[in-house]
Amino acid sequence: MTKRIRTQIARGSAELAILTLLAEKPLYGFEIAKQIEEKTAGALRFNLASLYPMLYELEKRGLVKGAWEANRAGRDRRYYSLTPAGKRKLGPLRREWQSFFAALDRLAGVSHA
Amino acid sequence: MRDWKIVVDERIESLKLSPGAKEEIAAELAAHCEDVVDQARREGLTEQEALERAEAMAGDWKELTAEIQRARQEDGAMNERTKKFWVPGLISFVAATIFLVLISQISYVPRMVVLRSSLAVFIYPIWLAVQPICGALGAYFSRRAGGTRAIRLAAGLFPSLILVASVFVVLLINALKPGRNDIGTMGAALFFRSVIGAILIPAVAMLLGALPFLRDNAGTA
Repeated sequence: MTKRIRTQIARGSAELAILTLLAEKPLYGFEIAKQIEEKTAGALRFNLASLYPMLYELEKRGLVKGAWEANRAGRDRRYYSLTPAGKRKLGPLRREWQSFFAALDRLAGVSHA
Repeated sequence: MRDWKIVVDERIESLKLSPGAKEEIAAELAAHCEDVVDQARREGLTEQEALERAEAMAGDWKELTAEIQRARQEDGAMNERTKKFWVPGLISFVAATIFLVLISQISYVPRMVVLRSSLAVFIYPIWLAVQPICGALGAYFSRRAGGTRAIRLAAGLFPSLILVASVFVVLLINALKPGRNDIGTMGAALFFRSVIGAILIPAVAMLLGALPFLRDNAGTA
């Protein structure tokens, strides 16, 4: 697999993971990274260089919106929430990934379930 | 205790963004590093181990700076709205204008079409016949750029939208300037007929051209 394809898959899966989490409730960067790591049992891990450029890009595309708010500890954090465009994007994105895994499953017996 | 804001400020120094944007990014990244250190402390790690974890999580600062630069800048000169709406809309508008100029060299004779016994409008048949092409161009380029169905429709109907906006400007000026009455001067009935003949009917023709490009809705706003 070429590096380009790996990068595209990684970016696509990161995008889906972030949008899915934000569909539940607004979160700030550290919470997003922590929850993704916990919910995928460490299979998906973000560092600063993979998380924030992705968040800024999603924001530029109008899919998420960031706003500074105090967290439970009273510290200011930039919370990201899904925009209406982000909500609309999530459904088709999920279907794309389902099709992708189904295709892989048919090809190589790789099941995501 | 390390001041992460100072550390991050130094490490993203080369970022070429406005001071406000840079400040916000530095504050956000510093907050993330603080949270990682706090979490490590809660897990019982020593101060040194907590700092090492934060450094490891931060990764390569050069890569981070380059990626943020790429993500934050506005795609060269074009942002999403420009690609999905303004450029396709202008293509549609320019096409409509070029057709109008070309056709005026051939035949610019209007035809009167009687819609109802009390309503007749002037239309320019050849110009009207090419309007679906203009609508199709706007919608096609918007779809290619990933525009939603609504944006594709707006890009396809852009020439008519400009005319509608012009009419509103005229109405607004008339409403705000006492004594000015452009519509009264040309006659309300003629004004109404002009709106139908020059805006509504061409808009329907453009819509017909845009329709094939409005079918799926895979784009993003």
